[in-house]
Amino acid sequence: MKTETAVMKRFVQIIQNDEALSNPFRNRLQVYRDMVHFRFVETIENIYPILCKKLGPQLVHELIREFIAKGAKNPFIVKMSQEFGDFLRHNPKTKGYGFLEDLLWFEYSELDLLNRDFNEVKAGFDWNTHYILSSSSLIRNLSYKVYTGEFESPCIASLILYYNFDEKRVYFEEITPFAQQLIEQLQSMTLEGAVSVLAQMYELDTKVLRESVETLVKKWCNQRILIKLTEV
Amino acid sequence: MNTFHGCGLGLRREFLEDFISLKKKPDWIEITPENWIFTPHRYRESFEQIMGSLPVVAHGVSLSIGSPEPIDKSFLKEIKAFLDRYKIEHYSEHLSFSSLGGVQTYELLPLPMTRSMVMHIGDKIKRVQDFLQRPLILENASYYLAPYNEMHEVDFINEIVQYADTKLLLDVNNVYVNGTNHGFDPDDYIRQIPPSRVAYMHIAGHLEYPDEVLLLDTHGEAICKKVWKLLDRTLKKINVPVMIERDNNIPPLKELMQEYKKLSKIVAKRGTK
Repeated sequence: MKTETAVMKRFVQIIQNDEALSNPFRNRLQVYRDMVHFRFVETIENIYPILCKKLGPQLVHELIREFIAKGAKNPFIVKMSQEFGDFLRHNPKTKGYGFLEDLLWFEYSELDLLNRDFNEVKAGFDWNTHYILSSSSLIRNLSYKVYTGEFESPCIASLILYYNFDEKRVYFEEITPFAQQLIEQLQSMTLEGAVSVLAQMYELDTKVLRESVETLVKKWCNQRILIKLTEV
Repeated sequence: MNTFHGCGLGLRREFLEDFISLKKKPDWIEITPENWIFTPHRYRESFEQIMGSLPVVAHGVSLSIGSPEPIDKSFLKEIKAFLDRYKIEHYSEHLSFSSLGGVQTYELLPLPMTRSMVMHIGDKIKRVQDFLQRPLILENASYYLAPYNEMHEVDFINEIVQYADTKLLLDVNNVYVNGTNHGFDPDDYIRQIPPSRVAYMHIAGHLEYPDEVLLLDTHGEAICKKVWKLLDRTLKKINVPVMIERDNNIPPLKELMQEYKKLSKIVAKRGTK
């Protein structure tokens, strides 16, 4: 098997790298090189369409060639795109793109939520409930509003991405710093407790606060963004 | 071993909903486990409805049985869990390799066709079968380059199947594509396959590059006349279930069912099992 192993290793090495081939238009090694390259391009462009557009085709193809040379590890091709994201984060060629981290998260998270399965049930509203963020939702602070197409000027914002169970699609919603604080507090206490903490923090009347929080939490429960802790 | 009969179709996400509303469904379906292991919520209900209603064969793409390294156990565990979950008895894979040294290419790469490889692959097949507790059916893959050979493709395949005491998924389109690209007679190749070793067959479309005298096994085109005719001749000798494989450039299900009807007619003519 030594010879066979060496042949296979050399074959993969040629496919992974850009070394010149004799008569490339008729060289079948080039056929394999192209097949692998296009498989990666197709997958990555499907998952990161906006990012690929922002970086431009030349740079994208160059980065994909480098990524192939480095070697993808996950046997599931969909998960390869996450590896590609990590590769981009550490690549010097993407250093000037301030929005990169946010856009990678935004585009990959949509696919991630679409590919998940969920067993959590819709929660009812109750002040004494300990709510947490469901597995069908993701929340993040962004430095660029990439979801509005803003890639030039930094602007801090909080975003929720959530899976819509009726339409079987992923939606996003910008939330206020207050709403974000509420979700953070809810991760470690009941809704009643979170309202008390926030009332103190913002120096607001608890009664007034309860009204707006009730509307918000009811909506999130309905969207299954929040679920009851016990139901996890 | 055959609990599926007649004609099959590869199930794809692109037409999952349309498939459910089909009045006359294919006799059986083939699925790619890698595409369904993490079944998303949006497809789960439809997928499970189909899985419970028709005979199913799983056809994998990432096992890399020809790689000189041991099988990725964690990957195999995922496959076994999936097959067990849906009670899928039949699992097929490609006679090729797609990963080496932990690096994935996500393509089916050609194997050196040697006696050492016959034993190496045969032993791996046995280990996979022991682990999965079900037979591993091997497909003759298409290849565009033969990197290092000491035997003909058909002998290589026959010896592996015999050594591992397993069965073959005979892809008729791949025989045609390989015959054209490597200059052998597809009918002669098929004559040398022992019919009792064939579990089922694939038929698919390919792309022709006349300038380069190259056929590419794309699974993205309609099945050409010459491949239909080759299937017809093959069925005279090998009487097993057949299915249409379409992975790329997937047309509306209606269009695909026209091809399926054509397949059914050919198969009915031959009185295939």
